[in-house]
This record gives sequence, C-alpha cells and structure tokens, in this order.
Amino acid sequence: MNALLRRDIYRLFRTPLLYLFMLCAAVIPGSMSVMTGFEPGYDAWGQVSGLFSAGIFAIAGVFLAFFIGNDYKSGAVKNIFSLFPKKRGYAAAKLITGAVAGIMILLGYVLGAEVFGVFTGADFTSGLFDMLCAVVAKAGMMFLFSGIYVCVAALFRNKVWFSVFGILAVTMLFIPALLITLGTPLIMAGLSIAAGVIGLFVFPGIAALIMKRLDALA
Amino acid sequence: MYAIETHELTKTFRGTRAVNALNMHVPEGAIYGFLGENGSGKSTTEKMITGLMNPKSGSIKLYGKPHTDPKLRAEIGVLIEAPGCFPKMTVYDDLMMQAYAMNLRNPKQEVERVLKLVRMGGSAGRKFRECSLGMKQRIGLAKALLGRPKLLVLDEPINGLDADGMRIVRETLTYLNQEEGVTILVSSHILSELDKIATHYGIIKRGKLLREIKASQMSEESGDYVAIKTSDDRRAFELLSCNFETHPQKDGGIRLYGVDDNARVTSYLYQNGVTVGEMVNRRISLEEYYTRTISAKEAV
Ligand SMILES: Nc1ncnc2c1ncn2[C@@H]1O[C@H](COP(=O)(O)OP(=O)(O)OP(=O)(O)O)[C@@H](O)[C@H]1O
Ligand SMILES: [Mg+2]
Repeated sequence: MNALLRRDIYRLFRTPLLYLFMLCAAVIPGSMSVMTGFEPGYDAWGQVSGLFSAGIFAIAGVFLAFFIGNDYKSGAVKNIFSLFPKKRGYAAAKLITGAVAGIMILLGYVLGAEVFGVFTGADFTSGLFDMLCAVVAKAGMMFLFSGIYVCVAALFRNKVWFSVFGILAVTMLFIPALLITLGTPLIMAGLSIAAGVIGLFVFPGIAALIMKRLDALA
Repeated sequence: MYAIETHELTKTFRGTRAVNALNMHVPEGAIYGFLGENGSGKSTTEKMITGLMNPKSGSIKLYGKPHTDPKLRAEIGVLIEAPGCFPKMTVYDDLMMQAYAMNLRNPKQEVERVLKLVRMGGSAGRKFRECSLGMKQRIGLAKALLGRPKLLVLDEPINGLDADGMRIVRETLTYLNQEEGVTILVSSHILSELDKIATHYGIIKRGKLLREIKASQMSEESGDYVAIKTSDDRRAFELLSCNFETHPQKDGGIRLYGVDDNARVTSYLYQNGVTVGEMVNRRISLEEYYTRTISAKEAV
C-alpha cells in the first residue's frame, strides 16, 4: 500500500484539477455570504459552515471520481493491477489520497472564508475554537466519505461521469448525517475522527471485493 | 517449465465465447508470437493472463503457480493495447509514478534506463499526449520494462511504428531475451517482424488455439528445402542422396531437404569435382505458414 500511496500522492500534486477545485471551494464562502446579504460584523462563519459545507464533500467526491476514473480511463491500471493481484492496497491508497485531497479542498474553503473576511469585514473568526473543531471533524469525516467514494468509483471504473453522479447521489443521501450536531463541537470532532478510522479499515476491503469481481478493463 | 500455461481458459462476453477452452504453453526463455485475425481473442487472453480480466472458467499458471500469486505477478511487465499513460503528464512523471508504485530502489536511474533502452531518453520532458503514435508505443514498452520483469506480455507493441522504430523494438526484445533471459509473449499482425525474432508460435482463431509450434519445427513441417543446379546433376545426386532427402527435378537441378549448412554442401560437391552453379534456399515465411494454417482449418 505504501508504494501505491506514494504513487498517488505524487500524482495528486501534479493534478491541475486539485488546485482548480481548491479554488472553487475558496470562493464558496464569499459568494454564499454575498448571496445571503451579509453586513460587516455579522457571524459569517456561522452562516457558511452550515448547510453548504456539505458541498465540500461533494467537491472532494467529484475530484476522487476523476482521480480514480482517470486511472482506469488512461489505462494506467493495466500496469498496476497486473502487478498487484490484491486490490486492497490500491483501494486504501486511493482512500487516503482522496481524504488528503478533500482536506486540501476544505483548507481552500476555510482560507477563502478568512480572506473574504479580511477584505469585507465579515466576521469569520468568532468562535475560533468551534471553527477548528469543525475543520477537524470534517477532516475526520473525509476519511469515511472517501472510503464510500472509492467503492462507488470502483463500481463504475472508467465511466467517470457515472462515478461523478453516483458519488453526488451518495453525498445527497448523507447530507442529514453531515449536518447532525452532536452536543459540543469537541465531541463531534472526536466522533468524526473515530468514524474516519473505522472507514479506513472497512471500505478498502469492500472496494477491493468490488474490484476483484469486475474486470479491470472493459 | 512453462512461463505461462493455460488450461481450458475461457472468457465469454454476453454469451459469446471470445476465448474458448484455450490451452497455451509458453516455455521459459521463449519469444512466443501470438497470431490471429482481428477479434480472435488475443488481447482477451493476454488480459486474463495478466490479471486484468477474470476468466469465466479454466486456469492460468505462471512458472507452475497460480497466476494470482503476488510474488510472481510482481515480475511481469505488460503493454496491452494502448500504453496506459496519463495524457497530460510528462513521460518522465508518468514513469516515475510507476517506479514509485513498484517500490523500485533507484526510481530515477531506472526510469532513465528504460527510456534509453527504447531510445526515448530525449523525450522524457514531453507530455504524453504530445507524443506521436510510434513514440507512445515505445514509451509503453519502456513502462513495461521498469523493474526488469522476467516475463513480458506485449500486445501489438509495434503497431504504428516506422521501420526504424520496429527495428529498435526488435533489437530491444532480442537483447532482453538473449542477454537477460526474459520470456516474451507478443502478439502482432506484422508477421514479417515476428518472423525475425520469435522462437515459438501460437495461432488462435475465434478463441480456439489452432496450432502451437516451435519456429524450427515450422520449417521442418512445411518442407523447407535448398534448390541447387550443378555442373553434373547426376553425379551430385549420387553424392548427396546418402546424406539428404534428395529429389531431382524434371527441369534440371536438385532439391535437398533438411540442409542446415549450405556451405558444407557446396564444398563437399566441389571436393568431388562438381561445381554448384546456383543455390536457392526456400524457407517458408511465417506469413505463408500462418495463412496456410488459418485456411486449412477453415475447411474442417
Ligand atoms: N469488453 C468487451 N466486451 C464485449 N466484447 C468484447 C470485449 N472485449 C473483446 N470483446 C470481443 O471478444 C472478441 C475477442 O476480442 P480481442 O480483443 O481479444 O481480439 P484480438 O485478437 O485482440 O483482436 P485484434 O487483433 O483486433 O486486437 C471479439 O469478438 C471482441 O468483439
Ligand atoms: Mg487485440
């Protein structure tokens, strides 16, 4: 798995799509605030960290759909699966890479919010602790969701657009779960990390089963 | 031992048998030319051997072990259909990624080595999609060669190559086979090229293996001969008939079967006072043999 992860990370940071998606995420808080008609000083973070932050998962999911789909579509999997009959390592590497990409996108989002705040006076800093907890919670959840996304992408293989829509559909299903607030933010962060860890162990196995059953090449 | 051995290997696509109970034997150290018409099942067979498709039934053994053995599989290099490179990446980055995935000890040197081997060292910085068809094929071959595999599975590696490119690939394969003992399974429609390097052939038609034969056997079976014309055909016939299967021709001249050294025939005759005026080797070409095999079975 380590070697495959190294391959994916090498590829991740040479993928223009990652930076494009980070940029997209970065402009969301600002445009959301503008649309909801903010006034200087109002609790902008409270606004943007709500519903639309689920969108971060969708963006991360779409990214992963392309990241995995292109592995199949380019034929690069031929040189991978021919060498590695066990697919679990491949799936785990993709899960981690997807989570890393998701966290990068999340950071783009937070950074975008802060920069917007600096220029417009919208307050993105009230409750810094809560915000950090929210970020950590989302980062943890990224591992869980990335695992689910890997399974969907493994199912559709080189059909990238099917993966994209499949992943969006799955994300929609889970929006309620993403919005659940469980007591204090600290507990939420803890629970999310736990969920992420569980995902890390469960989903590569499931994805590997899917990959094993299906032909790598259409 | 066989590097690759399949037993009743079968693959179906929506009910039709693309590969049908195939029993294939690729000996260790061979260059095995895999021939067949379009759609006969070559690529499908190679995909199953390399674990990219699941057989419907039958089994595959590599070096006597099931083809799912991770240790064995780590020693395979593949180029199947188009090379699997990311179009927007540079050739170098793409190969580096593969080198990382394979956990190679000196990834940079290894990438440079394989690119040099296929004479593509100068194009490392190019984006893959900006390469020509022939360059792409060679890059795909380079990718397959990373990590010095002991078994290469190549599907039409010389597709789209110019004469020079073909020569480079041919020389590379011959070098790997002879100097490094690499076993090569290669499919191609360019029979004249295979003819130059292959040691064994398998001919597949509609998913069935029609024939499996050694290159040397092929010439025996198809009756390769040497035609000579001499100053004294009767005397020559007397001299040669005890050593070779010898047939005098009606229009003069003699046909000799089973000759492996022309020079010895000439000098032997010369010592006995017969001079050779004309000597022609008639060797069956792969193309001819292939066509004959394919159409002979058609009648059945
Ligand atoms: N993914 C697929 N889905 C459905 N049918 C397929 C698929 N792949 C191959 N086939 C069919 O299986 C048969 C064998 O195809 P294959 O690609 O193995 O032939 P081939 O010998 O490699 O031909 P070529 O010389 O054209 O490359 C063909 O009839 C083809 O249409
Ligand atoms: Mg083919």
